[in-house]
Amino acid sequence: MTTLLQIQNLSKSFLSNRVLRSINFDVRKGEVHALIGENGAGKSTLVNIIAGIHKRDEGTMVFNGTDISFNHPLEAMKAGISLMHQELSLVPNATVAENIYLRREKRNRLGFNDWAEMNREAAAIFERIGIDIDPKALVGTLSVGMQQIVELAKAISLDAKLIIMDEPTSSLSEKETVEFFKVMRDLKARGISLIFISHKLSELFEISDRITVLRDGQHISTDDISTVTADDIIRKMVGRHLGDLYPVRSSNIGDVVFSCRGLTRFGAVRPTSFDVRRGEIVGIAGLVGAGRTEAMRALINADKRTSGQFWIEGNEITIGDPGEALSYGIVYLSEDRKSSGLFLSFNITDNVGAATLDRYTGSTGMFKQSALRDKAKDFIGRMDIRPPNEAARVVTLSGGNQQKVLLAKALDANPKLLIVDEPTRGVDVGAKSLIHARIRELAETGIGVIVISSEMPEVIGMADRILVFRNGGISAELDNHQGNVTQEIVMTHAVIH
Amino acid sequence: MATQASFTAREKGSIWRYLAAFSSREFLLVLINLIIFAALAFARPDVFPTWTNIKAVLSLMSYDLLIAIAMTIVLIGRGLDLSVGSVLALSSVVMAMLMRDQQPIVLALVLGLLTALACGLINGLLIARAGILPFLVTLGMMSLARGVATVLTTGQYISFPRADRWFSDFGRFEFRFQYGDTFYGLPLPLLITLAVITIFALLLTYWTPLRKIFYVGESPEAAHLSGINVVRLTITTYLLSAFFVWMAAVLMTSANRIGYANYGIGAELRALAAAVVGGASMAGGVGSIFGTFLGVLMLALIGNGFVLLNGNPNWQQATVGIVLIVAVGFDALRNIRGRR
Repeated sequence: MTTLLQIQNLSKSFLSNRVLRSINFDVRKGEVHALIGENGAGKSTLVNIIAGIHKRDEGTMVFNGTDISFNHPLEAMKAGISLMHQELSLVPNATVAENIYLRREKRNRLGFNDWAEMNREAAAIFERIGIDIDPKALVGTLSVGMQQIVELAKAISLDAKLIIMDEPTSSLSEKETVEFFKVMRDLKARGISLIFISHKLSELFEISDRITVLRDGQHISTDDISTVTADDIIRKMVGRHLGDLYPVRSSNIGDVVFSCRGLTRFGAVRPTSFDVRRGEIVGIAGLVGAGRTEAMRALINADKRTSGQFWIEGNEITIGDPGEALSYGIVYLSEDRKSSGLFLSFNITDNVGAATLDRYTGSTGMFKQSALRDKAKDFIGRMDIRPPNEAARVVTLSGGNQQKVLLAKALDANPKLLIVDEPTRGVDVGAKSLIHARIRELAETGIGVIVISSEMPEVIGMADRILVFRNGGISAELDNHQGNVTQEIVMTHAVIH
Repeated sequence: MATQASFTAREKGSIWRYLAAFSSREFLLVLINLIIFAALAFARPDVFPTWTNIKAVLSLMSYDLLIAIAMTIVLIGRGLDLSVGSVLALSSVVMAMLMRDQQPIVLALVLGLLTALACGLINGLLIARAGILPFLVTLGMMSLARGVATVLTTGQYISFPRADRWFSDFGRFEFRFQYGDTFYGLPLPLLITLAVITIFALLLTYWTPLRKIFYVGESPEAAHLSGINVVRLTITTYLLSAFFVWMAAVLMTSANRIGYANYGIGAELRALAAAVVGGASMAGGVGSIFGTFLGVLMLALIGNGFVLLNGNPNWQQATVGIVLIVAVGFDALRNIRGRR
């Protein structure tokens, strides 16, 4: 088999963050090449560079015998490389044919769009791949599976030689996946190459010819799929050592402070039940899209849940909205610090008091500005927030300091259960361990803490107990008192076998 | 060393930003107002600096001021209220018709207020509960309220000669003072307006329920997660807006001694221009009553200038347009730079 795409020594940094280091990667003609790695391993960056969305810093890319360097995705498309995004990029209110020929409509002799011709060609493509889709149907009326096939048809109509698929099956039902694979095999038989990103190991083994593992922006291995096992792949994905960076675990874990039974949210969270004890840190692990954040938001009813029962300190409670959750001492800190955590153009003081304004209010409703300012100064000292100026606007702070402000806001609400979602995303190493230490100190004061993190070392390093989420529900509960849970174990429960 | 250096740099940046955000806009507006004032005083020393002229500017300004405050409070909550001018007309017409029919004045005032609040409530519910864009909802209300007012009056002035005298008197009442040989009159409506907005400005800063509106406007999602009732507060902003519009309607109806369906045409644009000039943002979360006051004053002085300098008064409307575009343009730039 001949090589279609050959990448050598490819590197890429975003600001000072090196996301790809000297990657070597090749795709042969007519093969399905699986790409797998932990969240943040660099898969998406790699395929975005191939598809002309990002530019590489270093390295060479040879495609179909010529050196390539794309400035724009359209150039990559013209060269024969198509990228199917994780989120569909179709226009729901346009027809199938309109979507397939978007921005490159065929014209008739008068210069008008020739829809008859486009509909005919689209129909021909669907006939070729043996799927029955009406080119005149609105895309929004099709199932997600069919929409993926439309994406594929778009790639085919472009005469793509290489189609990159970023988790195309993540939202497909089993039946739809079977259909989808049928089309993939058909494309392969026509000599089209496919790069296939997925977290579902069983699918990778079913459809791909070779598999490449990325980890921390580095190329770990490329193997023929017949020569490796699922365990091999998992080991290669995580093989990293945990330093002693994490605070010492607690020895005094108390009674159950919070219980959740049968929490569901239609289409996102399957029945989920768990307890959190006083002084305990419960880690929630899982891959992106496993329903971790969705479950926690449904818990405080920030997104309407379908069902769920909750107890705090043994008393059953109803949680109608985040405000009510707060009144019971349940505080959720969003993963999206900037848009749903902080009030960016407000100063530190006003952010610290955001969830507790009523406490800084007299019986007449008058706001006690100076009381809140003193409290903010107190937090700035305790958490080492920089600059130590309570009037500094939060937008001017670094990511780590913003996270500390968010934590201060939560603490000010005197939480009994603190849920922190991705507490160290985009935070530098020094601030990271400080945040870890603060979270552990909080737990030591008797608060139950839930830490959601996509960084497995963080979950394992912090948590006394780990809940692994998969496909919208808990797939495993792992005792981590001794800190002896390994990344392999977590990953085994996180990926879909 | 490296962290130390970057830390000081960051702190320097934040103080600079803080000073800029805190003082520059209001300071600049005071300066602009002074420059316009000085220029007009220089150009027409015989007319402009007289008390009669200044009183006229300030009196005419009080309606715009109340409406601009209405707009400011909605903008702070990340909304927009284009219906202010029309609701003013509808409320005025309702009150005038009731008084014409010799209903008690208090009843007329109450029903006028309820009319305005009903409009505000419909705006608020459609925006906060149904999630329709404020622009569309209030544009519809703008047309609806004006239309109803026109239908009720068939486009005629509604006078109320047999209503109690005190209502039509108070809109023109002046406290008179003697200083030297001249008498100075302080119009009562202007005093009421200034008193109300001063109290409101204080409440907006120091009264927690109103303070929360800033949080809603700055980030509705974060406010929701912080336990702030975003829906209720958003509706509240439209009700407050309706209240200030009603006040303007009362003063205008009283001073002119008629209700009229064409009151307040174009008022929404002047209010928007004044509020944005004064520091409110289309992106929500900011705005100040004092800033809006300075914005309204600026537009009023410019308008007075056109009259005194024998310019074509129609240019006044074009000026409002220019001010609005420039102010909104700066606002957009500020959002692009400031929030990244």
